[in-house]
Amino acid sequence: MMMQTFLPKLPPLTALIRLTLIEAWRGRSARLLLLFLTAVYALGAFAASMAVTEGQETRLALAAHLYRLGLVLALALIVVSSTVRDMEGGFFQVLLAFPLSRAQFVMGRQAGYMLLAVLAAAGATGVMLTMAVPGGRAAVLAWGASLALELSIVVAVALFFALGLRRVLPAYAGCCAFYLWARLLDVARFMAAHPVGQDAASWDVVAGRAVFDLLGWLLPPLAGFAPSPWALGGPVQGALLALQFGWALWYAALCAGASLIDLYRREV
Amino acid sequence: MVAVFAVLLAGQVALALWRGVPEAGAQPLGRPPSVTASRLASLDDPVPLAKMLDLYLQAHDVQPGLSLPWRELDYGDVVAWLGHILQLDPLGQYPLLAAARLYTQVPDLQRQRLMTDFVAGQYPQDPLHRWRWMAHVAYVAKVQMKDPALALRYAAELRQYAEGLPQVPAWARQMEIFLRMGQNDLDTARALLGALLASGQIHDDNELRFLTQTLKELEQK
Repeated sequence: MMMQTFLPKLPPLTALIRLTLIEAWRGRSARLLLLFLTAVYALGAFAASMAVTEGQETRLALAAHLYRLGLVLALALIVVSSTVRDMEGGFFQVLLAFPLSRAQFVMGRQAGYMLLAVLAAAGATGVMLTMAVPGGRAAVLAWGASLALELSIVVAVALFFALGLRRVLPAYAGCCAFYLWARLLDVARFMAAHPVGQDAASWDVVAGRAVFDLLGWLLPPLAGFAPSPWALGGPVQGALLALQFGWALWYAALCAGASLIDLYRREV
Repeated sequence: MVAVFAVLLAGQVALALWRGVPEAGAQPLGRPPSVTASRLASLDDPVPLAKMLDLYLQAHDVQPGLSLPWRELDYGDVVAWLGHILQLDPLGQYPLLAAARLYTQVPDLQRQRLMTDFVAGQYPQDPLHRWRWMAHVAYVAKVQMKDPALALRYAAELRQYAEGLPQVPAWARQMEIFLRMGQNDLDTARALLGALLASGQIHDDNELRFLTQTLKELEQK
């Protein structure tokens, strides 16, 4: 009924994607995004005015870092809170009363949130383009594409945690922990592989290395996404961007699969 | 309810009054953290952190309530921080500019030498992007430190690593010859800073203003 009222003629997946975007719009996400983009733009201008040289680079690096971190945290919260609301408010059960499978629900929601991630990344990229160094616009666009891929992974993971834990705080904390580990994975593995002041063959060093290697197999290396040097107009490695594209899609599918296994084994 | 709120507010004000006005005190810079620690702190995105550290270091001599003269800074710590920032962001030019142009303005030969040697030590790692700082420390050695032998040594190093790099202007590669001509300081400054300004390699407005001002000040002396 609800889907028919909102979206009478659309196929279920498209309807869910559209519903997700409408929810985000009504949750004032667009206005908050605009406010955030403007605040970071102003902060970057302030930092640039203080720099004796490389003012533009300072501004771009600061903005790239804040946009990346801010959008990750905000999108994860949007996904977690709205998914938990779906579950607790009974909207999920209402949707399942229609000819809509659980798989369609997960895929529709995930695709909607990924589209939202792309739109948010596009907004940040648009602002970054206005600050780009001469000749650096293509690199900024590549940075934006990489950011969109990173955000896509984050929303897929946030959906997985929200569907599995069904409480805002644990799900958001889980998502943040995932992001933190995925960002620090390379440094952690480097530290584990090169212990300082410890015997490299001792059991705790070997165990630590094994744990980080295991994490390395499970987590995507997010530190390599949205590289700051690209935002500063540096050389773009097309092969890396292509790899990130494939990895993001693969990981989103992996998260959807994990969410579905969890969702199908539960009673609604 | 209002009375309780008034008591709580009065308590907050009393705490603030008890704490008093913060007094200015020079905080030492200290040594930088390890590169690994900085990578961890930046979530493995060290370039933005390096840019922020540039500003942090630049602002260190202006602390709340006081302005520290450069001669009171521990130049060993400053060099360590500059090297740390450069490790985090090898393409960044800020640490080299700060070393070559800002911190060499201290009226202390030992401190100036720490900075010029820092730049000379970093130059061979990336001559293409760092040649102009090497040219600048040669100028500093000649004009500010009054040490022509050191200036010649820096100019020779500049030429040595810049050979085969057509992006480095000819005047910079031939700086050694120019310094051997024994011109006075003002002419040297005019020629070198003027050539740097004319090279079109400086795009930042603040940096252009700084160089132009330096040149003007030299001409007024």
